Amino acid sequence: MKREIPLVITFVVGVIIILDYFFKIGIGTLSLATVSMEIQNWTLIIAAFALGLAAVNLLRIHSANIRLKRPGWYNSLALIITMVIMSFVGITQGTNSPLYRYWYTGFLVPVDATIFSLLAFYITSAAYRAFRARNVDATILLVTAFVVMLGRAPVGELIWKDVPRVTKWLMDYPNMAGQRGIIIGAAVGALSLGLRILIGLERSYLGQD
Amino acid sequence: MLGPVFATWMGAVLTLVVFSFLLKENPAWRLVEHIYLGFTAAHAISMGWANVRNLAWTPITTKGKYYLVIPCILGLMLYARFTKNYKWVSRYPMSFLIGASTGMILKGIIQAQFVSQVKASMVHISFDNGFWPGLGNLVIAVGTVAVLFYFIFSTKEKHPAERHFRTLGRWVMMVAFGATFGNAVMGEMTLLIGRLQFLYGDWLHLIK
Repeated sequence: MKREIPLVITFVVGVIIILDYFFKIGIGTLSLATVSMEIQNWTLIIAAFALGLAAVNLLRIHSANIRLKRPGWYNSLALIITMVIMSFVGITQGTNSPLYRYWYTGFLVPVDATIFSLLAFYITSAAYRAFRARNVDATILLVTAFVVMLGRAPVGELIWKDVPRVTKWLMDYPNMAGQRGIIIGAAVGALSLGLRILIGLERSYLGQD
Repeated sequence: MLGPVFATWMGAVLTLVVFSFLLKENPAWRLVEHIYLGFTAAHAISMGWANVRNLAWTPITTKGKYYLVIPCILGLMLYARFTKNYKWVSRYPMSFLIGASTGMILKGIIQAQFVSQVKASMVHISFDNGFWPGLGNLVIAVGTVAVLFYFIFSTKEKHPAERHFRTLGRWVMMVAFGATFGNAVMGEMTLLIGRLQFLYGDWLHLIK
């Protein structure tokens, strides 16, 4: 009961969606496409509840930090206050309301962009340490990355007018060949994993008893 | 509500606080990090609530689609995770989510990542349109097969030709990784330039 029914649900739900891709089956007004569409709709609703689950988990962890006065508990307090206030505004007024948009563009957007821009420093430092032409493989990686960076910056064209064209050729052909091989290889892996999940061989998502 | 000048100052101070992390982890950064996490969680909750309202609440109350109560109950069953004796109840909605996601992913993979990629790799190798496009098509045809050969036949080779072909596959992958790295660096540099333009332009008005 506790493990078998969930496995059956996974199989039935997954197979209906896959069958809908290959076959057009219908009896009267009820068709496989309608059932598949409804399942996808239900998934969005359940996933929305799952987001709340994450929020509850976050609340539990950070309220424990405050209650036990762990180091940095005031940061947890700030997190909870922000979460509660902005959730209230988002739920009652909507995410397109002027108040929500103001804080979204004033706070979330600059912090988000700056955190990602920090990666520019770390990736440069990582490149300095990792990019040593120790063998043919590393040299190919180094040269390609250098040419692509040069081709994407205005200085590349100043050095040699054909640098952007070389970059475009590298991106359109050898890079495409590598990406396609990786994508097809990953697709084969994902297909086998998906089939394992559907037939119940992979059941780690059920957790332990 | 506070005006645009306050928003600019807030954005500038936050940008500087986040940049301060480059020197050392500090209390200001940790505070901003937590507020950011709280805001992100609130955004996810708001979007989740909008989904529940649009896909379940409104159809139930206005169109009489009462069967949509079922996914709502399934969604609530997820919260049984927090109990000790009824933890297993959360497996039912979880299995629904996993089954549907697997089905959707498999459906997407078959078309987008498998059939269309294989079709796109079957290029016409001809030098009629110039040397470089012709060479490029040859690289795509041979390179894609070489990369797949590297992945699928990664056992001990029986013939030297296998080793050479696998090496070729690895080199093609190195080009792809190098190009991805170069693009990632330039993407992050663009974000960095954007933040500097904000600081020097919108905030300090030193550049226009």
